[in-house]
Amino acid sequence: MSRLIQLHPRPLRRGFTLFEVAISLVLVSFGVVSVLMLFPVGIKAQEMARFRVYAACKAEEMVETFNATTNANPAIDTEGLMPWDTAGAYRAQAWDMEARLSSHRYGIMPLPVALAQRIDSDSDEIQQIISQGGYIYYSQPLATTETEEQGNPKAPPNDAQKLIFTISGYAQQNSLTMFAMKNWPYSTPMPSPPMHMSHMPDMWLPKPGTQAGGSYWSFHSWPYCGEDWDIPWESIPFNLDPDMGVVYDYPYVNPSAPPLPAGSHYPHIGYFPYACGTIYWGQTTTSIPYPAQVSPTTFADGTLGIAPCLQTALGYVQAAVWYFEKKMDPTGKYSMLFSSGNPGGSATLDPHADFVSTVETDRWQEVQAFRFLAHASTVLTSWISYSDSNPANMDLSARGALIPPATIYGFTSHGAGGSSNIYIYDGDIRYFHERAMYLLMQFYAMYPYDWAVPRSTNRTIMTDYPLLMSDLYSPPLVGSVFGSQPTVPAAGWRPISSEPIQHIGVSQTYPIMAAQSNQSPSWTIPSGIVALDASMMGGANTSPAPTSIFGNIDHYTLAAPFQPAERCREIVFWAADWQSYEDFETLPSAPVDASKYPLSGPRTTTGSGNVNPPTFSLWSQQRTFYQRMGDMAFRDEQLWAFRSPEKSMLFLQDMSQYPTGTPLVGLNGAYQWEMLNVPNQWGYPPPDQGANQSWVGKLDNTADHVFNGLYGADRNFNQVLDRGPLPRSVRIRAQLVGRFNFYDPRVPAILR
Amino acid sequence: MAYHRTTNAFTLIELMISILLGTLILYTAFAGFRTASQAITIANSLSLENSLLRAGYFQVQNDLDFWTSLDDPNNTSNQKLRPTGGTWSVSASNTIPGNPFTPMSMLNLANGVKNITLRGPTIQPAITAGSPTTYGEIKPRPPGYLFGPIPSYSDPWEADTFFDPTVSYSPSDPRTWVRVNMAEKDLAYNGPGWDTNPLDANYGKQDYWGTTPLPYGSFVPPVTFGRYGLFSNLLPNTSSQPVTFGSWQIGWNLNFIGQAYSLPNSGSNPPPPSPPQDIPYMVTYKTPNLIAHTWYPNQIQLFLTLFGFQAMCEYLPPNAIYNFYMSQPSGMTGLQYAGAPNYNYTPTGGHEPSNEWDWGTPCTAGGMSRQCTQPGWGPYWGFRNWDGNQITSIGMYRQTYSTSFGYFNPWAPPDPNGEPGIFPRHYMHFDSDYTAFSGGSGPNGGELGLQDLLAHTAFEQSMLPLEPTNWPTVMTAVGRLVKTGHFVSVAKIRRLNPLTGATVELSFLGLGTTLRGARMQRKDPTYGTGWAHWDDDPAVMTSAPGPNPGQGNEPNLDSPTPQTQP
Repeated sequence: MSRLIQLHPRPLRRGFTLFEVAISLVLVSFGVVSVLMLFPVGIKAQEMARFRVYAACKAEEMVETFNATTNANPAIDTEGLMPWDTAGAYRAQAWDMEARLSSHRYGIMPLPVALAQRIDSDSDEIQQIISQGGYIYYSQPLATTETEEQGNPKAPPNDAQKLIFTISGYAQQNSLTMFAMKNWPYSTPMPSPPMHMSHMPDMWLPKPGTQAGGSYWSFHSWPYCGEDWDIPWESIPFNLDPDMGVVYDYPYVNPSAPPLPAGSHYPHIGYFPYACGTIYWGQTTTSIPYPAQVSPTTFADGTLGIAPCLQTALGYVQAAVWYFEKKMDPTGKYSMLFSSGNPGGSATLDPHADFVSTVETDRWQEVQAFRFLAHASTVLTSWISYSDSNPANMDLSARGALIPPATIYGFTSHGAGGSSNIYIYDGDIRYFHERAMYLLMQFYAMYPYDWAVPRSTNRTIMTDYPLLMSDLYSPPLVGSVFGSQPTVPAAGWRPISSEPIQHIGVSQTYPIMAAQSNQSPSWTIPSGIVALDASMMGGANTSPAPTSIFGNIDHYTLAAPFQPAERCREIVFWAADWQSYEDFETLPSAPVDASKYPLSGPRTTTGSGNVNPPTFSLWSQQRTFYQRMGDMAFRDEQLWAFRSPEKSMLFLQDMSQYPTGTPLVGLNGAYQWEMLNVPNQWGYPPPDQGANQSWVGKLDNTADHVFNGLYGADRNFNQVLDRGPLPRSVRIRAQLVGRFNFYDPRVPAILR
Repeated sequence: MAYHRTTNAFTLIELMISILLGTLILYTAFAGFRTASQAITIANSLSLENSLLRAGYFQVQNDLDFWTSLDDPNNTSNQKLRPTGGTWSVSASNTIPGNPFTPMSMLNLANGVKNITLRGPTIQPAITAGSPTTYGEIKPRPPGYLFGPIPSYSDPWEADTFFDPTVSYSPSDPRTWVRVNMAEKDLAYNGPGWDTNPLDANYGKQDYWGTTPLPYGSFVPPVTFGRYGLFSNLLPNTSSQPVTFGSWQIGWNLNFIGQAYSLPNSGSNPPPPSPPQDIPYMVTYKTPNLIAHTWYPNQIQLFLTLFGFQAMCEYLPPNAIYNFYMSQPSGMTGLQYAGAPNYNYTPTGGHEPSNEWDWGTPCTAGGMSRQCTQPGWGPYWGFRNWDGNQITSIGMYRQTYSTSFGYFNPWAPPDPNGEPGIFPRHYMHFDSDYTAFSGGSGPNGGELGLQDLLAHTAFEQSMLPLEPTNWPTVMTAVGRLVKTGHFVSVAKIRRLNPLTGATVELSFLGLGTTLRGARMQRKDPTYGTGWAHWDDDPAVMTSAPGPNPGQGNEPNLDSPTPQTQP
């Protein structure tokens, strides 16, 4: 057999060896797998395409919200003694996108830093931003409608939450959103009397002068208003214009008449005696007959007021006329007014004529003169008929309203041609009003940096708001944090304006800058005090060196030309499944900027405010810093830029003991785990308010823990405690989705 | 012997290996196909979803710009917000309330008493064929105010009281300045605990000495700071037809509280106290002098009934104060006009009713519009919200920081409990902030009110009603409301997967056109349907219809009644 075989050798037919087949399979498999790997790439491309749509939507929303939402936070204090006393110079009020929008009503929340540090990205951009103090943000689940979160219907999951993003590029230095030492503009309906306001009785008010005559100045406490006092800020002593006090309240002493017997009181003229000569107690019972419920106002010199009446109305006009002539008489430009027995003395005047004052820095006097005269004279139409058949009565068409002259501060008001009496008619009143409105509007438009005249509530315009900025190139102001124990040093940049501020006057909240006199409890002006007014009058800040509180005007750049690229920042979006981490809800919030806490301005302990005349020794005790932390009301609808950005979804206590899936609503009796669902916000202080106070009746948390988000938050807002599958030791990689450039403005401006 | 050739078969091992390899190949192929199939399916699904998402995105962007979900100019069946409100009236105005897309010409025709001209009283410059000034242009009033000395001055621009789409609200124009006394308010009632106000004209019924009731009326005027209706009013007043501004009885010399008082003068100090005198007399004001400013009051009154309350906020400038004065209507007493409620004279000084608000008169506090100032006055809580609980003048911030207005989608179904339909909703305000924290009653109060607002403004509609059943359903909505002075346009794209039932929503705020812009996009129905052509399409413009064929822009929904231009 073997021989046959040998004789007829079989042709050699060898197949692939197993090894060759294996190699072939490897090659084939490699090819197949390579092809198969293209499929997930396609899927990924589709996913990224979707994220780009999300990013486009979110970027559009952010730009819209940044530019179109309100910049008001009415619940905060806007004035202090020094720049660091209010939030105006702080991050919370900066006109930058992330500062504006990282708020519970505006839709972007910072990722917990510990979580953000686990995310890799191209060029390590995310970690670089974090290392520079920046935040990576995620989106709130709902669109930013600004409406009450509690009342919104529960929405399905929002895909945009899968995006994370940041604001890249350095922000421009912004203008000051508020000027702490005087938060201009002050606004009042125009025409108006001298401004007055509710004010706490504290150590920054000048002491009332109780002597009739030149040194008189007073404020008043209403018995039904507790600690709120009525302070005539605008006519306060050592403000711009001492004559204005006559228009507000002045005990008239006739220098040419014998003095009244001892113990007598002089009649008061001006706005306050007319409008506020009577107080009432707000009794609701019918058992107390009128007028037992009514009491006269007691002025600082002991004079009793009377109810509004014709006499006090005429007294108001008398004061306003005196002020008008005191300011305008030297020019003689309005000498045709106040005719004697000649109705319509103003009939030859065009109310829309230009200022008669040729010196621009004096024009405020013309404006103020007509402002007060218009307001006072219109009062007459409530008391005097247009036409009256009884010749014993005044009227405003034929006989006029008779205003006697007044001699105050050595100046005597008078009628046309030097006659002693002044008559005012219907036509005059209409002219005064139109002239006042015209001059006010002219003044506002022409002199945005002349602060002698408050701005009009009934016609606010853009130029009411001055453009101020911090001077970063002059030595800062230094001092200490009010109420800090022990004393904490503080510093703040000096403000500068584009041009010297004229007639800045005093602050209405802190008319005596007591901080500059070592917070003296004295109610007299301490010697050497640097009043706000004195520091900025007449362009003192034009000096190259800082003067008083102002910086160097040469450092002002807000109005300087700029290149578009200088104001370009970037929103960078990534896709990352950050909610897959096991602790994505229980991690503490990213650090909340301290400026997000609405801290009250400097205050003193008021004691009993219902004192008349005031007992000044009651209010010398400073409120501590911690007390100031409890002085502000946490009102959502009036605090847009404050509190934790995650405020609505914050946990109120440590949730680590609770299993995944625990519902956050309806547990623990009346209280909930999530701040959004805390019932009855009116019955308790907000759980994040205060320095270290336990929320009344609430678990074991403290307000500072909640405010800072130390317990985490329901970050997907599904009202269930969630934990993802990924352990915290795993790193994930974020895929770049897109970049969007946007304009970074320096000045707050709302588009509509 | 036959040659026998041997043939070796695979060994068992070889066979097994072959089978294994074959299986591996088959498995690999199968797995590959399966993965490929799944991947393709997922990719196709994602692609489809993305396509629908993009389509939804473009849909809402298109809607943000063109408002087609509320009004389709090419489809008359989707113009439900164009008719007027019929006889439903919210004020004593003689206008007929309109809807957000009611053509101005329709309101104009329904309101023939109004003086409607373009570019002010003299049409400067004229809108004529070939003129560069056309319907779409908005310019400030030319300089040079036609004023003269008080009180005989007159300004014909003040009489141009209807909406003029060709003139802007220039802040330098004196007719745009608000002249209401914002510090004045109705003193009658301001909530519990305050109705013992002795300044209330109706409170004091006895004098200080306790026995002598005042004959009638009171001791201080109910309008404390004067009659601002003299400066600005709905009616211009004329010498031939003088109007009155209320009258009231007051005390001439009111020494009831203790100290005598007389006006100080240069001749003497005040006399010693004298017995008190209460000499009541009537103060009346009926003057032939012209009222200088009538334009602003008429603008406010007009917009209260023109397109709805949110439209009012959009059309008027952001610094507007929503209030105006009217002269004393016939049928009202002087005290009513002044804001004092009706009361019964009670010689013993009896107490007044707990609620003194007078709901039956159109004005108060010296002629201030009740609709503008009194919380809840009018149907469905009216225009004014309850912020501050005061009867006083306010602007957009206070009117919208705790409550909102909106534009309502006419396709949203009516509520089952008989709440108002789409038209009245444009004349309602809805709780939207701290008052919407929880609860609610009625269509617009509390949490329910906010949800009603959101559901009816951002009403989601299917983007593709005839889509295949296995496609993801895509719903889109653009809801428009005003909150804290912010004109919110919230866009929603909601996807429902028919296989999994999962719902995912993309919602965001969008940048879009204002209502005024949207109205100016639409052709005046007098000239047909569709979009208004503008001067960026000169080929079309040369043959454009309208009162002035060949002029630059076509008439749009804001154009007034067709009229012959000079």
